[in-house]
Amino acid sequence: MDLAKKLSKFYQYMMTSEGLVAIVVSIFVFTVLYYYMIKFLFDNESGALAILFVFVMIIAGAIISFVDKINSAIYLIVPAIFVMGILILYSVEIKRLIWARRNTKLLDAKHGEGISYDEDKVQHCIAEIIKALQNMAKNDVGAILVLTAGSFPTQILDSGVRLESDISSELIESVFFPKTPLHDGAMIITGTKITAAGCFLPLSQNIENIPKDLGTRHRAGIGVTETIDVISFIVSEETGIISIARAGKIIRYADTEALKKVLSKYYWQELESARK
Amino acid sequence: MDIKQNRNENVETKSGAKTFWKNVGFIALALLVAVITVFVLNID
Repeated sequence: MDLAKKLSKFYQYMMTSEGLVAIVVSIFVFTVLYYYMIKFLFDNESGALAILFVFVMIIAGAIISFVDKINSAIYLIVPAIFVMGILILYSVEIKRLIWARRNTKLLDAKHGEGISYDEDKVQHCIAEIIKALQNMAKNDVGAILVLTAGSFPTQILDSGVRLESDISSELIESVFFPKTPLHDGAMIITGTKITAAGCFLPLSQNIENIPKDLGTRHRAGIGVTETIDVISFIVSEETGIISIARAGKIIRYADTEALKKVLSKYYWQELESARK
Repeated sequence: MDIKQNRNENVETKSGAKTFWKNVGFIALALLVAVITVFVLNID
């Protein structure tokens, strides 16, 4: 059957009510699938792969349309191969998407649902965390604090020691004091509680974009944010510089205002701008 | 208490309009491939 006949047959099928509905629904479903696939590739700096996918689909479609002896169902092998390739090449990024934090407020006194925290306690936690970071920075004490909103891999928590304690600057500084048993790992904070300390974090897989002068502590702080939607505060042992890491990116030289902004956003509470 | 401070590096930001047109481009590409897919699957 030549292409003209195939087109005519397709047109006749499209003119029927059932055919039209089936075609519209199919186009919609495939558009949604391809949109998320193309967007994912562009978001992960693989736009060329997305363009290649489009070209291969066009060429494969043309070949199958012109050649009679090929079953058109084979066409679906092309996107299937691309999807399998994406799953293999981008497993870390896909893991991060799956573990992404849901957009739920920790402080939700108005709705009264979920977890609600006392406002004074939250402000106390923010102040204590900032005080601990500042003291450790001043004394060149290395530290990693990870703020998580809820679900956190159990294997990371089990690699350390569960504390389930209230937040205080004295406790944080004591944990990271040199040569104490828990000083070498990360502290995990969930809401107004220190969940665990001395936890071992996955190192960053990003070799190109991380400055070479950052050591293993920073790479661990960045690495955990690449796979899980958390915020890391890192204090450098060598320089005392405080850094904030999120989604695989790091902001260095974080001052008090930057720390307050990030912590306030984490606890969904706006602090007054001028407080000294 | 002084914090050792120099500068903050900026985190990458995108404007809303740029993001909108990017999404339009993605949808256009997806629609093109989807139409071809449906056509090829229905021509037999």
